[in-house]
Parts: sequence; structure tokens; C-alpha cells
Amino acid sequence: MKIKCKVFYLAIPFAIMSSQLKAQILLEDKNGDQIANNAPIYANTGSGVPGINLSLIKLNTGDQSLGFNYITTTKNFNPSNYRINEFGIKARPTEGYAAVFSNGQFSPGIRASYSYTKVPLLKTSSNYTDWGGFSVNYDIDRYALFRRDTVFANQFSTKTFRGINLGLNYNALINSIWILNFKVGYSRRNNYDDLNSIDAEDYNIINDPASRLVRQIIRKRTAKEGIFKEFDAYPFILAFTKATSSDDPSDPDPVVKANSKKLKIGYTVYFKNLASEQLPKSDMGLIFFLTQQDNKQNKGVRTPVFGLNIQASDPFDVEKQKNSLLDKITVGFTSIFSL
Amino acid sequence: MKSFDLEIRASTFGSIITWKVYLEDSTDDSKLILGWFPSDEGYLFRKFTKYAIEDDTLEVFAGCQGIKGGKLIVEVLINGISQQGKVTAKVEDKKYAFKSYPV
Repeated sequence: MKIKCKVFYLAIPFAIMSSQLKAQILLEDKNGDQIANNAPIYANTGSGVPGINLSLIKLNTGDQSLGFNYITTTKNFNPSNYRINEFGIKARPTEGYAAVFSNGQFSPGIRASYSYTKVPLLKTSSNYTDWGGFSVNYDIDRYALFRRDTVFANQFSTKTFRGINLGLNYNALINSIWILNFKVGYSRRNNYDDLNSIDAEDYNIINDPASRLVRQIIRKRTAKEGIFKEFDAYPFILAFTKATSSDDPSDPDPVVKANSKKLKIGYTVYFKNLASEQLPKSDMGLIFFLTQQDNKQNKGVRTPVFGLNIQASDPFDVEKQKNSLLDKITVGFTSIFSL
Repeated sequence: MKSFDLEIRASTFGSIITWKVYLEDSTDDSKLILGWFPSDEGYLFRKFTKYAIEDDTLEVFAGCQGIKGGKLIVEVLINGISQQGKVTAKVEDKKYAFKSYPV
């Protein structure tokens, strides 16, 4: 049985752009849910190319997915009022890569996504600028299931899950340093990740009287055991981020000049709750991240390069697992690479 | 009434989410510059042929919102000549940065 790991992960995107390289961080949990929509923060709206046009290859070590995202702004880009369209597709082995490498077993999971963001949404002023919009995801996952309380021939089965996720998000930059992210939505989910993993080995023995050899053929399979359920859920996510300021490398003040080359620490505090007919699930987390200033192409834009993630799952023990708070805390590391 | 060829060049430093550049009047949305074009030099530009003003100075207003430390820099070219002094708007500014250019 595998131990369920409840570490949050940052999606690690690689930005590839024909004319200009840009990095962007997309905060996702291990289920692939996007925590924050910070696309306008890491875009460079006045860098010589009007608007945002970038492609990302995104690796999320949480749900072990590899994805492709294309982010673009409206054609007639107005820097004071614009829209961002994001198209994405990602794939993953629902059993994880361990099953792929050890058994050659691949149960595909695919997510197609679209999101629309308007900047600003309601208000823009010297100390408050907001953005927001909606997102739609469609999941098709194929799962391997195991039941030991049925006839031998039917113990392994496959299940195809189709689920839609709808979300509304509102985000704001307050006093030029604090970022608020708020998201609510509807999500069709299942309990597959909560079931116990099993690794089964089938032995087929062939006896050859002529050579007096016994041949053993082993077939390994990974599946989840338990009662598979689908249900409606309503995610709620609230996050606050302290961003890191930029420093002009051409400033006459040597301190400012030196700061432009230094890494700076920012942090994100988040709360995520998933209400459903099952017991509500909540996670609280704190992410410390280091940002590096790009003094060349992105002219002063700071992007995270490394993150330390501390998360408490079910901090209020709603699931009555009687674990102490320390037992619920997990730590994860993240890093960002630019191609 | 004076008319001249005008070019406005804008570039940003840091994380800038939204920004605006107005000509003559920051309260008149018809004076907001739209339709920026890209350049290989890393700035956006907008050209106006035979731009007409009623007085002897061209007023340029600039403002931006974004992460602390960010700024918007606007350069003005009149009849192809870069004018002295750029309009620099910081994200912390409460009012539009402003500069008058004699024509």
C-alpha cells in the first residue's frame, strides 16, 4: 500500500516564446486545481510586444502531469483594459509514473482547460487594481480498480471518469505589494485519490516435462481498492501573497543597484476548502518563495525561482483522523526552470 | 493652432498590470492613447501625423498600476526629434506623472 502524500506543489512552467522569453508561475495543488490566477503580475505589458503571447510547458509534480498552456491577450491590446485567454491541455498517468516504469501500465488522464481573465475587472486606482474571470476544465480519466470481495475473474476492472469543473475568480493587487486571490466553483469529483493503492502480481507457472523446467511468468498490476464514488463538490480558495518589489539596476543609489541582483523572499498564505456530500476537506498552507529579477528581457519583472511549501491538511480534524497538527504538516520544495 | 508629427514611446520596468498615457487632458478618455505598436528595441510606440494642438505646449500624462518598484517611462518625439526629459510614472504615485513639451 502506498502512503498518501498530501504535499501541495507548484506547477513548474517553462516559458517558450518565439520572440521573447517570459516565466510565469501557476500555483496548483496536487489535484491540479489552480490556487491563484496571477497571469497579469508576471506579464510584461510594455516590453515591446503589445500584450501577452506565450506558450508554457507545465510540469506539476503533484498530480504528475505534463501540460501545455497558451496564454494570449485580445488582439487590439489596450494596456489599461484587456482580456487574457488561456487554453490548456495536460495529460498524466492516473496511477502515477511508478506504475508506468515498473509495470508498463498506463491509465491516461486528460484535462482540457480554458480561462478568461479581464484586467481590470471592476476597479483600477493607485492603490487597488483587480482582475478576474472564469475557468472551465473538462477531465477524462481512466482508472484501474480492484475488488477482492468478488469472483476472481472480475477483481480487476477499469472505470472511465468524466468531470467538468467551473470556477469564478477574483484577484486584486493592494497597495502595490499584496495580492488577494479568491476562487469559488463547481467541480465533479471522485474519491479515487483517497482509495488505497495495491500492487498485485499474477503468477502463471508452465511446467515442461521434456526439459524438466518450470517457467514462472509474472504480471504486475497497480490499482486502487475500495468503493469508487463520484460526487459534486464546491471548491473555495482564498490566498494572500506578499509580492517582492523590483529595483532599478541603473539607479544611482548603490543599495538599490545591488538589490536588483539579489534574490528576495515573498510568501503566499492560502486556505482551500472542498464542500461536498462527503466530509468537507480543508487545507491551509504557507509558501515561501525566492524571486529573481530579470534585468534583461523582462526589464525588472521578478519571477519565483524556488519555493518552500508548508501545508497542513485538514487542520481542524474534520475528517476525525485524530492526528496531531504536526502529523498533518507536510513540506515540499519547488523550483522553476526557464528554457 | 500648431501641428506636427508626434511619436510617443512607452516602456515599462517591473511588473506593470495596467498603464495609461494621455495627451493634453488626463480626464478626457478620447485623449487616451490606444493602438500601440511593437518595436524591436523593447518599447511600444504610437505615431500621430500632423497632430494639432491649440496652445504652445504639448502635455503628456502617464500613470501605471503594478508591483512596487515598477514604473512607466514615456519618451516624446516631435518631428522626429526626441524631447528632453521623459515622463516617468511610478506605481506608488497617487496622481498622473505629467510633463509639458514646448512646440
